[in-house]
Amino acid sequence: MPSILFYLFAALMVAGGMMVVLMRNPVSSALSMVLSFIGLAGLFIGLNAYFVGILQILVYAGAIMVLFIFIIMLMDVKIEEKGSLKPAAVAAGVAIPLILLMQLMGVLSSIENSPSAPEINHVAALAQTNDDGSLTYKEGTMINKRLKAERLPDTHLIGYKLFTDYNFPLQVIAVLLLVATVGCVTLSKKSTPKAVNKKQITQQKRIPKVAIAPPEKTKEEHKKEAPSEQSKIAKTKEANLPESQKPTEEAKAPQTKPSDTTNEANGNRGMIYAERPDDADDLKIISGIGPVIEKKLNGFGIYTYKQVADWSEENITEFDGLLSFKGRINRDDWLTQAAELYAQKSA
Amino acid sequence: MFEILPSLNEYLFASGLLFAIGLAGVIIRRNIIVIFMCLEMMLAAASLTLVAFSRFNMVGGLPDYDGQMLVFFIITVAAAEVAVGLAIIVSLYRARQTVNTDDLTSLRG
Repeated sequence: MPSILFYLFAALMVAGGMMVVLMRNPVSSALSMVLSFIGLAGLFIGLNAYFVGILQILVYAGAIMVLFIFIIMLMDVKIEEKGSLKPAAVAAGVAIPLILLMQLMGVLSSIENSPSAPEINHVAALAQTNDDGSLTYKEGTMINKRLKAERLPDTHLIGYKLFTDYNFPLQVIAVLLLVATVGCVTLSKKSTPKAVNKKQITQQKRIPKVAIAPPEKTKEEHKKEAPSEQSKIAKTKEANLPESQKPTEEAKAPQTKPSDTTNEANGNRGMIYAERPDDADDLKIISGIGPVIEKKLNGFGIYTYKQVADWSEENITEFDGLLSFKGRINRDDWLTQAAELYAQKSA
Repeated sequence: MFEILPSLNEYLFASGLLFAIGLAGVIIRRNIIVIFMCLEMMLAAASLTLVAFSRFNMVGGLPDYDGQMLVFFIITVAAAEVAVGLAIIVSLYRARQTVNTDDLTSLRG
């Protein structure tokens, strides 16, 4: 391979690799990776490994990267914010590879007169014999014909190797692929929620719930939130309070007792806390709720198992929308889980 | 420069560079999908070393195809690994709604 092509493809490969690390959008990272692998495939082809080069493009740049991009799109991954990186991680991430590279350079520079690639010797290849003295690449085979024509039968040689010396590993790999397929199906299968008494629970909880939020505060909040509820909710801690459907009326309505803030006034969010209560539960224990969702729920004023267990169907619809996923609350059966946890807690 | 063919050293250095970049990505990035891509890059860098050695070590006038067989198997295993790994990431995302490694601290003691 003429040096100019080597440098071109090597530069493409390294630049693509750098972009994978530096791009903050995962889709850009994935596409830069395709670029990097095309450069790598160019290097393979320059090394007379035509089959491996094509395989690199087909499998990596084709299949694997499409899979990556598919998953990224499926998950709706957001662009990483600036400053989300830890300085320690960045320092380590620069220092450790640099040390590695310096070591490599030390070793490589100690080698003098590093050779260029030797010429392929077709005559010597044709003359290769097995242990019993017969020709390795027999007369009349494709490998033999190509070698006589002074060409490198790369794919044929790989096939020859694969089905002679590497027959057993090939079959092991086949089993591995089968296992991987089964594993993928098992992993991506949705776990079916146990349909225990879901109906009963939701029916019970139809009764309007009493809000625990202190009434004086509620009134204040309603007034405050009246102009632009949504932004306030995002900004302030008091946002735990309900997003009211008719803010002006709500604000005017005198609220004397805690029980005044009922289901409807809460905009279908059921019972909520204005601030973190002392007996706040670890919602993460409910399967389907992680740290992120717990934080969101706390933001909406949900802190205890009891609150979750008491959700009505409207509440579920409301939170489905607020947490921007459809059907998850029912699918993972949060209500039953929360009810069980609440029973355990109070027992 | 135009006549001289690249030497083995140059290939090894290019491969080491790609490996180092992949390693840096694994350490620095927080998005688990990008980390996974960087891992793939490190595997590919190892493949380049194998192919280079295969070409420079002639056996009977031909490149040493044992090296390329290993690359063939690496690519196969990597494809299986990506499929399983991405399935794990998807189920992780379903359970936790995040792919940021900083938010995945359930195993922290």
